Amino acid sequence: MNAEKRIGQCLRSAPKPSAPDGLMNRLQADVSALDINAQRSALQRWFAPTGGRISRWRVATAAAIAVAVLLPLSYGADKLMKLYHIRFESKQVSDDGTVTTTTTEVTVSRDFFADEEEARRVLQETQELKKAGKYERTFLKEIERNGVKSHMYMYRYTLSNGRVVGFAESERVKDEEDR
Amino acid sequence: MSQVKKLLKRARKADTNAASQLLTVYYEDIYSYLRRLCGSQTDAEDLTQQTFLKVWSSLDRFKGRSRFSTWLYRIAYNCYIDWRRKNPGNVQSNTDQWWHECTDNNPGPVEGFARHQLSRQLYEAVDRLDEDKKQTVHLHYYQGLSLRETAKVLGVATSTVKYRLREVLRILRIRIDAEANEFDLRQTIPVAKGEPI
Repeated sequence: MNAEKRIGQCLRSAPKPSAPDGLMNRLQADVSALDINAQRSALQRWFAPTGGRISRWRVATAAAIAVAVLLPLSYGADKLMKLYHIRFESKQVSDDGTVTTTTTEVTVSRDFFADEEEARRVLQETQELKKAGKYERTFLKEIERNGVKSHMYMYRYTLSNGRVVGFAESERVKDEEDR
Repeated sequence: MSQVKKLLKRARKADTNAASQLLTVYYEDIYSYLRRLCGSQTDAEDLTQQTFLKVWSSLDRFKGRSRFSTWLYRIAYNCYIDWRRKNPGNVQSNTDQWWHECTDNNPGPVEGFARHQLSRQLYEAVDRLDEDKKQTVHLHYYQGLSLRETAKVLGVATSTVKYRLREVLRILRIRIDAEANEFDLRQTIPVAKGEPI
């Protein structure tokens, strides 16, 4: 017989150490004492840690955590969302009498204006100043979105009450093809 | 569905009776695997217990991609490796001792002596192999796992297992041959020239 085959056979027929008598009882005791980690969702595990009844204090803790975490978050979000969405409609009458209506939507932060009416008034005035060419324009940066290049400018307007306001506006860069 | 799969399904739903039945099926194999490796009955018992504790606590993570026994051996293997790492000085090779204990209970005929001797030499030689080769022999030959199962337990490719086994057989053959030659030499009675026997 091939020597290596014989070695293989010898290894296969190796005697098996028998388990000591007390081992099975020891392992059985573990099984009885253990709560087997059955397939339960994270929520189930949290609310019913023992797998049976829902723990009341855990529900209360979860509610407290929710209030403690979500309340400041929602307050912050509310603050972040303090914006005015203002819509303008400007009409232009061409030489042949055609009226063109242009609608502009502007979103501004509430922090700079006392109320929506003031924001609307200021924006209306800046529109008129822009039309009249009464502004200071500073180039900020070039941006590219979806393959379209734009330039960001800061427009500064001096309002009739002497207040200086500035708005960042982007303008599409005209390619050679557009021209 | 096989009996083991049914038991597993029930055990996953925290059925302790099913878990006990699974235990009955597998605990002896796991114990013998660990007993051969760590050489001490107490350590092997502790490691077997540790293995099953890990099994019960992570039963929901067993996805059934391999056989349950393979997964079990993998946990036992990891437990042994962790234990070995934590107790580098405790690992002692008592193969000889358990081999004697096992064989002395079933004394064979006189003609079986040579085979008995060879087996003893082999088991001792296996214990002297490096850890990877030793594990491969233990799982494939001693525990009877297939090449694929052995590979899964050890986390290597089946081809690696095949290569290791080929190497093991080559090494063992060389060692056995060397020991046999030594044995033959010891049996030779030195006779002085011209001296009457």
